[in-house]
Amino acid sequence: MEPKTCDNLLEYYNGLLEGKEKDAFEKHLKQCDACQEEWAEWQDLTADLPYLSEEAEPPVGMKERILTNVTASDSSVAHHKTQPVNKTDEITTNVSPISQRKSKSWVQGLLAAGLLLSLVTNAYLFNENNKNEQVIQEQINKTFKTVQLASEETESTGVASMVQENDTMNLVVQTNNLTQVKGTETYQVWLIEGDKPYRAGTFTPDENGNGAVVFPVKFEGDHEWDAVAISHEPTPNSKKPVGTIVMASNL
Amino acid sequence: MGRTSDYELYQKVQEENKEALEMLYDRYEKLLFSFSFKMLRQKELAEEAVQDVFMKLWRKKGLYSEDKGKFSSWLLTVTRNACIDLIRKQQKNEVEILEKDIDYERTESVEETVTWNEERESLKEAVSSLTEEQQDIVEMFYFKGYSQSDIAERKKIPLGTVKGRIRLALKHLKKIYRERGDKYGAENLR
Repeated sequence: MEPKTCDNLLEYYNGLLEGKEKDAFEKHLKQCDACQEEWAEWQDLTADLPYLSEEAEPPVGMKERILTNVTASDSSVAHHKTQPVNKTDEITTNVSPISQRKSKSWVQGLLAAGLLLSLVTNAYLFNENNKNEQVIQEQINKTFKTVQLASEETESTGVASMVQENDTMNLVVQTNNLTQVKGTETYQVWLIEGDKPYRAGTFTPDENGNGAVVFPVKFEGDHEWDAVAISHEPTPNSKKPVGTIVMASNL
Repeated sequence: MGRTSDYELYQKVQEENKEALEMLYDRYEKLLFSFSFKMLRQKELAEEAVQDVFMKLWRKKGLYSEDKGKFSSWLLTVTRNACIDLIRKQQKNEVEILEKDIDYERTESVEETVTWNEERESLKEAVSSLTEEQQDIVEMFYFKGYSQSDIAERKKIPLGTVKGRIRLALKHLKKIYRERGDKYGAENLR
């Protein structure tokens, strides 16, 4: 027994040890009977405490978001990955990066539409709340359309696919080599119809700049999506697109 | 009882059975979310914690076995760890907040949901028998994940006494709770 290491038990319990200290304690815990006993004691002493929590109402849509993200993370996206995007010429459009000028005017268009966006989206969602029921699907049924996304200024690449699952259209976005986000920054995905952007969802890439996300597309009414775009936003809460468009492609 | 046990569901989840995942989710959504919300005080973060828990259940194999005790207790420990991780990340400003862009109708779950009203009432009563300082210490240590030195500083008590005080408070709480709430103690929660 090393008393000094044993003293770390509660700090470890509260996730306060990092790196070498954490590794050392975990190793120690496996070998130290006194610590194992004490660990079990703390587990027992605190076992009832979670039930002190007042009932809190989960946010609307949490279940669908979580189950979609959890199962998409390895099965549907991985499944999708195996489709050779380049060989399916009919549904794949290789689109060169949008030109800078075009991108600027587009950003302005987005900005102009931005103020309306949250209202519009909320109205859609409100209606949607009364209508649809999301069911977790067993598998992806059909890829409607796949486009490659590319960036003019960085190494970033991506693939966006519209995937039909029974009655639900999903937008699957995979990205590589995206610039890391800092602090509250995120990437937002937009579907564009005419000059109106619809926010499809938000994501942050992993430490390698890679990301894969599935967003159910549930805007009311029929839509002819013209383009898909990814913008880099300063905060996940920005209701209008204030950031820069990093990748885009016509659909 | 005709009810699939947590462990059976967990085993099916290990085989990537989405239906089992959904059933387990329905059963624990409210409890895990409420607990996470108590720890994190932000709905977005609490949702992220619950997602982290189910990510783990889905992706990592063999995390739980029956020798680790009751599934619900284990799941709550995993949840607390997920919350603690988010608290630490938040302190480093690394945390990302999931944004809820797309809303759906709330579907009333057919699956049985864990509820804990009686336990909570009984626990609250037990907590009220603690001194104010003891209540604060429990809150700071367990729900806020403070370090012993933080607790010492905030409560103006010697660092060397913090651990003993937490233990004493928790022991007292457990004793009162288990005595009073025997008929619906933790055993009632499957």
